Amino acid sequence: MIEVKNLRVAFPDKAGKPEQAVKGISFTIGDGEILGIVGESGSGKTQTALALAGLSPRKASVEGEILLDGRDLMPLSREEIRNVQGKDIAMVFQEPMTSLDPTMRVGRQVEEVLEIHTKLDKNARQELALQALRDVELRDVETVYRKYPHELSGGQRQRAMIAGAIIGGPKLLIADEPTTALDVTIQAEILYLLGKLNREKGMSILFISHDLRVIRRLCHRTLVMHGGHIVEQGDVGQVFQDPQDDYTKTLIASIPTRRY
Amino acid sequence: MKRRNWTLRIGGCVAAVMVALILLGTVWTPYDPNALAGAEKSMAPCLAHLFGTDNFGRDLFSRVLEGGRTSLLIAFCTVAIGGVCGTVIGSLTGYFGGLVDEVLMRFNDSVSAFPNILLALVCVSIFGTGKYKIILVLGVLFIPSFARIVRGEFARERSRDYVENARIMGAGPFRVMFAHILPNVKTVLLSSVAIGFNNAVLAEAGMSFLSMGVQPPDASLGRMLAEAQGSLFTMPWYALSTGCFMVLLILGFSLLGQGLQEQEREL
Repeated sequence: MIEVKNLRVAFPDKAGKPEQAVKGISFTIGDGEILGIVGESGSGKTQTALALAGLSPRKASVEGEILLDGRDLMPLSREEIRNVQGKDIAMVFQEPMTSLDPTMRVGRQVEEVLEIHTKLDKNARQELALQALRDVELRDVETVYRKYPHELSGGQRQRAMIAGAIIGGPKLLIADEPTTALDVTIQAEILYLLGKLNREKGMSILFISHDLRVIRRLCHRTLVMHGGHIVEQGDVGQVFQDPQDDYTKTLIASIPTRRY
Repeated sequence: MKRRNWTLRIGGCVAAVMVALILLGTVWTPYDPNALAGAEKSMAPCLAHLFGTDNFGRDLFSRVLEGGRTSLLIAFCTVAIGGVCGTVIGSLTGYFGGLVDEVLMRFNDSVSAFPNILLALVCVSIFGTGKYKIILVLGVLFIPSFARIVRGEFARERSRDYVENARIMGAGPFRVMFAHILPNVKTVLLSSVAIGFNNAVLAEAGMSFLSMGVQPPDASLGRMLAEAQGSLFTMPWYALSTGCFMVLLILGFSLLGQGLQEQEREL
């Protein structure tokens, strides 16, 4: 279980004064839960995700507590954080086209987490990588394993990214707008896949999106962020049917509805 | 649609032929490059002596190969020293930035402010001449230019998505730098190696021409040019053959470097 307590992320502005992107938010992600964070650009949702992943930009100052199964990650050194990254907390980025190293074969990148965190030999790693590629429902995994990223389609790359993220069996998978760059059909497939991985592997997912429909489809619970604050949180059904906050109401009202 | 990169191809071929000739020269030359033959002195190019002979009757083709070997060896070692040290320094400063970056780059600036050949001449007049001293001096002087190029590339690449992605997997800085970023800047590095190689050949030739470089008995293209200068009108083939050989060697590597840059731009 992840508990975030009073998380603040601030950046120095031009005059050097700290400007807060995330203004003291608290939330929890239960085991096996999919939590959605929704908000417009600049609402602090991506900075929240990066802070959880230990990837905040160098010039940012991060305060508060991030507890992973009761252990606070904030005071850890860079080396200790690296032991958590990839193994306990994994992340999938928005851009599948640029998030894979163009000079490294897909298979090697999928198994990189194992190369970093375990002492498994090459064959064992390859076995697990092929299994992970199967888990994300890629076809012809032996071929994909040997390919370079530019030889795969966007959807295939995003699946390969997810395979690389889940191979270490993380407790939390952070997905920052993982479907935004994909077309609608592929988007639906990736959402289905994330739901399936959550059910089968019992892995918690922090799903970040500006797309309310995507959140409603996938998540159990959701936070609405606005200007660095959480303005509303609760079960997806409840937030969507009975929004309390004015901003949430506006957001929900802005979902395009089908006209016949 | 694949456009053929002719610069790269022609450059590669010329460079390969020149290097092959020089390598051949290390195991076999038509004549002993240092054998004096009074009867055959100052001969114009003919079948027996492709490039003619000098005023001691030494076969110029054999001597050019011998001199080419010295140039190649010096250029290779120089680029190796400059390239390896420059890459290490450039990748560290480019990736980490900060104070170390500032200090090293200001040092870099101050070294780059002087022409390399001038610094090399100053160093040589302090430490003395000779093949190995030249290599060391030129090698050290080549570090800044490599460091600057590599630094720029690393600073650009470090914020790329695939680097972030490697970091979230728990990859340490050295893994990120050398397993991920370095292969991605390889083309740039290779083209600067080719260009650095040229500069090294020229610097060595220039220093030897001024007799501040390689000393006898080592043959050197630069020193041969200096000798040829004296008999430019009586034995024009001496300067022409030596000069053309050097021009071809440099042309090959310049085209190779330029071709690699074009390749990089197309990617």
